[in-house]
Amino acid sequence: MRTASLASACMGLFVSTSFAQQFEEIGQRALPGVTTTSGSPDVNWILEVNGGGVVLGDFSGTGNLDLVVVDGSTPERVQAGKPGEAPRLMLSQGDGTFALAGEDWDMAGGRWGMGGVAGDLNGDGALDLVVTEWGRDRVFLGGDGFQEVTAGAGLVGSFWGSSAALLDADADGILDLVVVNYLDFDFDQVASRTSGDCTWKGRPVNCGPEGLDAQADQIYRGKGDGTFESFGAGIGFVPRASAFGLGVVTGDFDADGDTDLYITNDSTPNHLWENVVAESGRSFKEVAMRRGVAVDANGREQAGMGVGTGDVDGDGRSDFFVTNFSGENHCLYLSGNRRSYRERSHMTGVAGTSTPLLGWGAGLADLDNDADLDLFAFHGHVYPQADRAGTDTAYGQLDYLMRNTGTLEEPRFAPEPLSARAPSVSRAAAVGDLDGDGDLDLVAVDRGGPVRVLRNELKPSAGSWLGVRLLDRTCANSAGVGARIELDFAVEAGDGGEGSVLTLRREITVSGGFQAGSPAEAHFGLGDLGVPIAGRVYWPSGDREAQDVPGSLLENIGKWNQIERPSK
Amino acid sequence: MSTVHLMGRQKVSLRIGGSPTLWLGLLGWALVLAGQTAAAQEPTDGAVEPKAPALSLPAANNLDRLGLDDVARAQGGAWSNFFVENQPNPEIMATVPAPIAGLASQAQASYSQADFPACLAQSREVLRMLPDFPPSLLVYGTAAFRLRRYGDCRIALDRFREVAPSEVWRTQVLGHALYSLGEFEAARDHYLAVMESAPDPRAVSLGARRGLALASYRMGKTADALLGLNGVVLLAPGDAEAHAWIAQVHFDLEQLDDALSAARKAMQLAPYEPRAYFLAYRALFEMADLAQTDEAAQAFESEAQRLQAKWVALSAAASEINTLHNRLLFHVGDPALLRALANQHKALGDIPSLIQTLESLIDTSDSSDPTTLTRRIFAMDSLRAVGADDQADALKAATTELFPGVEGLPE
Repeated sequence: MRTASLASACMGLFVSTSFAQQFEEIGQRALPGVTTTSGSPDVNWILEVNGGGVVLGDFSGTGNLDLVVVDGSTPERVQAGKPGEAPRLMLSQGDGTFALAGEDWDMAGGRWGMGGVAGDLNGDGALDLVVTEWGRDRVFLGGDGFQEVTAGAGLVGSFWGSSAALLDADADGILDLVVVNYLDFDFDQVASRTSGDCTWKGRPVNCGPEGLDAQADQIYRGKGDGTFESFGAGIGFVPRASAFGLGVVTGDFDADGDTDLYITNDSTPNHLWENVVAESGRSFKEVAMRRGVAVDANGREQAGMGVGTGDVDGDGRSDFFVTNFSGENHCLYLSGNRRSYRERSHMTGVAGTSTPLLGWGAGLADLDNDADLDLFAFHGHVYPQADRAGTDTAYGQLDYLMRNTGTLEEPRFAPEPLSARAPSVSRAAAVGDLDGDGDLDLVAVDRGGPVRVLRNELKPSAGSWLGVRLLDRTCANSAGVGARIELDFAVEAGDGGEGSVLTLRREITVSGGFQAGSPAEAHFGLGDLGVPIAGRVYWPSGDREAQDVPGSLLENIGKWNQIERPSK
Repeated sequence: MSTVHLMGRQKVSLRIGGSPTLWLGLLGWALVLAGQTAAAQEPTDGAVEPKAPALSLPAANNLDRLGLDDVARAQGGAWSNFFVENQPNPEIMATVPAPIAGLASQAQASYSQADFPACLAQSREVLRMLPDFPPSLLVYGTAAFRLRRYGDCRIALDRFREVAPSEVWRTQVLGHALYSLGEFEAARDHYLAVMESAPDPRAVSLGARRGLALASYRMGKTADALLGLNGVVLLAPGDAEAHAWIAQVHFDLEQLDDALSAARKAMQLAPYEPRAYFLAYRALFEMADLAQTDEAAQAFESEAQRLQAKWVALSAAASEINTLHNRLLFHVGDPALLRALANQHKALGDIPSLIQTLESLIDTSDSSDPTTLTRRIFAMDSLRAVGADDQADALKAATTELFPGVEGLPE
């Protein structure tokens, strides 16, 4: 294993890149005319606040990342009984631009779309789609086109679904579904901004979430054919109090080999659900308070919106990055000893810049291919009134890259605007290599505005990389969602002493935080680490044995590679 | 029992962030303007020439017109002689036209009544008529901070620093504003400037000392933070918030015993503040995980759960109380909000806070107001409910005096 001093020395040698406008906004040509609807510019109701969603995945099976845009609606359409704007699939052209898919991929509008997630629900190798709605959540099976199967999918009720996650919760090789719900909204029951009932900094604004009823999140057991059923009461997943759920990520947070959940809640404590196997069976236990990720370091609940996860400090356990309201700060929870976390936003440089910002889509990814994880966050206030005098914030805000300039043991983040774009009202965002050039690009939705593509203009000399996609023909979870991939690198000692081994870890996940779906793939920026000396895949279906990564693949750096699970 | 009296004017504590120990001792000198209505005189050298008084007070509820962005600045050096040996120059003060001085006095009164929007509106008008008038810049900046308009606070106090560079030591609230904006390095630098420019080390408030420690902490300088916080509790052993921050720093450093010890001290000093309970239960859970024996682990676990439950209850109440305080900033003296706030404090058993709230609620002696009596009856009921019978009796006596013959007051 690596030693601290060697790792620090190694990190110091990683390639440094100027980040001046590293991301170029190419939405005008990548997604010409693609916009979303989310009520009116006045934002009279909280329903109009959250905007649409984005889901990245290879729906067409071409090897490129396609994009699903989840669209919303307007109060007028709802009151007229009209469906919301339809979600739509934009097919990758391979160069970071997209074109609307043909009619086989058409999806009808629901009531008011929010977010979504994609995964292989029926084991046919094609990507399927779940769309969350203010209304009934929806399921589309993919292949040569989309087929809506919502009616028989087994999803229960009609709530305000914000985000969704697919995970193999019971390690049976089939993807299960978690829907994160926000609050009980009814135009006839919730006061609008014009009522004057609700104020922020002395000014009338839309009402909620305080004073409204939170809705419970839902978990479903996948049946492997695109339908779902209840897990039964034994699965747990019932918190002490329902919360205003907005974002979700999955991962093996307690390092016990199965998949756990972390859900960010608006104005209520966040939830960490540990997947626990006992004699009585499998269940989810809510431990956020105990682990230290429910509230901030002062014990105050935040407005948890977006969330990302990844191993920032190289200790083998995932950390969390949560975006919050203006006047709060974004929270970086770093894993510590004994499965607990500490909020270290200030010490790592995350807090100060984020204090006046209101964050949504967020994540951890190696955006400069230097082998450590950076942070990104998209911003925009919930109230247009933020532009009025004396608020210390603004409605339109800059989106930020927080580049990791520290060491593995002591990560430190330097914030800078993601692109040269003027401040905007951003919402959901997803990360993936849209143009196949090995650096990670971003796609984001403006509230009631365009879908943006931010192309990473990282120079090829910045650092090498290696991409991994998994294929598992032994079970329905064909993309290996929940698998962990580790790559080992030999690190020379700076003082001529004995070298060490540095291990980089990634998990295959498809839940992209707030109203976003991410592609089922692992991206490793390599910096100056060179060729991995070994690699392992820990498949998600319960057995803890690792599959060695073939040596030929390890040498295939600078490319996306596929690893197939051996048949049993 | 509390020393707060129920029959006086509302006592406005200049607290920051709810801390009873972070007093802003910077207004006293500025308030010397109160009551001065000297006739306009020729300005002395260095003072600005006042414009003809033509007051056009913006409505305090027009929150868009309270900023200073469009308020003109004084010419360079205009107030260079305003302070003499750290005191306002009476000769210059005497040149202030009476209407402007009167308005400045009103601003102070508004501040004292916690009517910060009105205070801003009045101070702004003073500054419009008498650009960069140092006392009003200070009053404005402090009121803006209380109203959580940190950017406006910064504008006012940056201007004050420019026109009265020798008086930087009076502007610790600017450090608080910078800290609240997330500009920790600037906050630290400002606190240092405040401390270094104080004419006497004793003039450096605990607020500035603690602010410097916290800004250091936010910058990751935990050793500096601990040094500063320990300095604060040496000067003020009863500073619960400083003890809680010490607990926080130790917890971050994974020094669980020290964290727990400091948290217990903070809990003892401020039993209704949730934060120390939070730190204590987190430390105890981790101690349970580390314990050598099952018995020890169980003991830590049990106490952790007890304190966690306490924290949950206090935290929920604090959230409600914070919401009410936020609304009261813009609905000054609203009786419904004050009653709700009193009920929160009553439910907690927090008698000092209850009394303070009730003082605001009954802050009228207008016997012709039909609500005066009902407010007092509510206050008496509340006081008796928490066992504050002395205060209830005093209020009853005063009420009987104000309403001769009234019967049925709560016993």
